[in-house]
Amino acid sequence: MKWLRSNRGSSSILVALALIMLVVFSILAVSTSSANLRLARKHAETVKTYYNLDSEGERFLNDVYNGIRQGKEKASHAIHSISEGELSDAGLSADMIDIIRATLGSLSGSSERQNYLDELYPKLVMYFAMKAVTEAYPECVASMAGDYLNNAHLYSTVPVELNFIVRKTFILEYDNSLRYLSVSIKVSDPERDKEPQDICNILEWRMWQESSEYKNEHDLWEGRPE
Amino acid sequence: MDNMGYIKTRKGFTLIEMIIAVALLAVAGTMVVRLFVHAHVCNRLAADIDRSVFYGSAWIEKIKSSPWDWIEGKTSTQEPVVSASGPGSYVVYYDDSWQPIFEDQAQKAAYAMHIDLYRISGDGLWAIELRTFRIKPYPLRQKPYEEIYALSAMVNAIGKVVEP
Repeated sequence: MKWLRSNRGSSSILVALALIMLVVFSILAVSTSSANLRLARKHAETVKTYYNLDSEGERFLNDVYNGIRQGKEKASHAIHSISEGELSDAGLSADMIDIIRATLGSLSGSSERQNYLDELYPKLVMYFAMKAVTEAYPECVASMAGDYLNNAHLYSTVPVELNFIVRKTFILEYDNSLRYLSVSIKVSDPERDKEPQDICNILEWRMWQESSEYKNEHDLWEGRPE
Repeated sequence: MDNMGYIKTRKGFTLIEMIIAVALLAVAGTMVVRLFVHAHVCNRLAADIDRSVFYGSAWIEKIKSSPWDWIEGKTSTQEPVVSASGPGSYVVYYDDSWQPIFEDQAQKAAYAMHIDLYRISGDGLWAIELRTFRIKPYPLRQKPYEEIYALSAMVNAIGKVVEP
């Protein structure tokens, strides 16, 4: 009966082993699921960051719309003041008032003057809109047709292609990397019956992330190129 | 008699040893069970977050494509699973496998996605707030209606004037 002694406690060892295995597997399961959860939360945060940047772009677009809306209101007021001969109330610069006064003086007949005022309205919309947007976002506005703020000769009878482009890049730092949103909006042809969204053309709405650099700490190239 | 002598001489476990062993097993077993449940909850939560992100982004893009339908509450243009809970306020219910369900079956819902739209300023900029909740608590958690994920975005909706 001595052999029984050798079996003493064997079941305990089996139970202990089973328990250890269960603990090991449970820890592995927890670590795997925690990694899953971390990954899911990271992805969720990435999407949140995307919409945060996108919201900044929407706010910018809204500011441009507001600039145009203000431009339309101020241009209507300016045209009204000019038609009543009160150019000083039009809210325009002295250079522009001089040009407009000289142009009006050179025109004969009410129909010519009315045509001129009709042509002047969209130019003034561009002027006031550009002014409003430039005040909100300095150095973001560019125009191929000319600077509506400083080129007073544009407000004579010369034909002008009415458009300007507003560009801005938003940068957001997230998780030690920078994310960018480049927005480029073209504003053109501000006719009376058109809404701001009708005259704004979004040229670019691009989101990107700075490329991660691969740090090559191990020189895999053992040979030397000839 | 020989056999009886063997039984008497054989060493066994005392009651104290047994109590300690059973207690240790119980503690270790409980720990293991809790760890497995915790792993299950983490996996479930990860899957829920992924689904919330997926469906949340889809709803936000849908709202951005036609914001006035959502601001004015035009239910005819929305999907039937969307139920309005107030002006500019919507709820979408999902079952346990993340299938959208109708409002009249809301008692079967495991998840609720609340979508709220509100005006940021008077010039057409609207905010979209989206929050996803798990209605029933996760195992080992007592908190019902737990927020899984929240997402916010903005949209330009100009051209119309509505009262909020």
